[in-house]
Amino acid sequence: MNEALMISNVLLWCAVVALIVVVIALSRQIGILYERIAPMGALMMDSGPKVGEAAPVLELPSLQGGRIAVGAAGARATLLFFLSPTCPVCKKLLPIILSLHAAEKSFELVFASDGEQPAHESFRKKAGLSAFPYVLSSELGMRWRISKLPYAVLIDRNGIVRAKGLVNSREQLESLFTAEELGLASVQDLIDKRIAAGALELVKEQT
Amino acid sequence: MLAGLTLDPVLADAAAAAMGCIFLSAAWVKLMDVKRFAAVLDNYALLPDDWLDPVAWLLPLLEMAAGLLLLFSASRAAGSALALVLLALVSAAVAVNVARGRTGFECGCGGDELPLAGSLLLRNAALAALLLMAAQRPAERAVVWVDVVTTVMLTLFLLGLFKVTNLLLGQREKLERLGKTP
Repeated sequence: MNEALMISNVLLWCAVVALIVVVIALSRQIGILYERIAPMGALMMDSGPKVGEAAPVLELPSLQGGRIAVGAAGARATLLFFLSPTCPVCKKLLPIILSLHAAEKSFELVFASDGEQPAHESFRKKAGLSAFPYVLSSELGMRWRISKLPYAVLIDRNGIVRAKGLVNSREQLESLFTAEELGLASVQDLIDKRIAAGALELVKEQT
Repeated sequence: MLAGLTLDPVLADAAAAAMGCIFLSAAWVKLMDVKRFAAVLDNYALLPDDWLDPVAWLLPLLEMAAGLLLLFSASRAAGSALALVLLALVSAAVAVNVARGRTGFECGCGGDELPLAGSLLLRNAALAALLLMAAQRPAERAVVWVDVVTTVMLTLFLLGLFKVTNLLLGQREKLERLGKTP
């Protein structure tokens, strides 16, 4: 009897731990479902203006004063950086972006966000962004389909989108510029082109 | 404390092991990216700028110490005391910001990304209860092999429960937003 109870107890514990693993998996799946049915639309990183297309031009007031045509053609390329004062990764990336800008000087920097102006004003001063255009517009975020931050978009001098994506590190930020130099949308694009080139060579060999 | 209200060693052991793992993993996540954690601390708007980096190092290191102390039975009392102090400290920081009406930014608890909300205080109260269990001197009794199985399984169960709680707390905001859409 005693032995039977012990065995039953151990088996029940195994069942309880297995169930909690299942509940964790279910909670994760619910989380993914929330992302998919969010009011903003499906979470697709490649939605919004495509690489190679003209960027949407929006004339917006800058916190720096005056108005700025975001996405318009200009003398230099533009790095449009979407951030928020409470996003820790954005804060971590800001010094990197500023040093990149100081070193390269080949692009304009525009910061974009949305929300209450006073919070952004103090954030802008504290983060040392006073010298750059800073726009507050939820329309801009909607146009680019920004669902996660920090998001960066590289627009060339002709107003064409050259690279864009969610950036979490210096490497990812630099990859935007590399993608622009190579004329590629993303690493996936590079792999696709390699595969296509390989297939072409195969066809040539056979004929 | 109260005589006659001694805790079974299985309960005390499992509580200590689970809290030790929770503190160690929280410390690890923060130490992996201290700059990010400093930015999170900045969001709390409680510390002067010069303090952010030192505190961003100190807090996870203390968490790690508490986690390690909790894992060994000899140092368990010290570990749970340190862990309780740290838990009270971060809960106070959360409470201040909830009272200010500043919620929704990432709490920086370590592990899953959780938005700051009053519900975190409830979760922390449950963690504090586990720490109090770990701090008790357990009843003296012979430990048999089934106890070992029970302790290990109960620890795994508590860790799983903590994980599920965090996942669901992280999704609450999304659920509420979804409920508001027509």
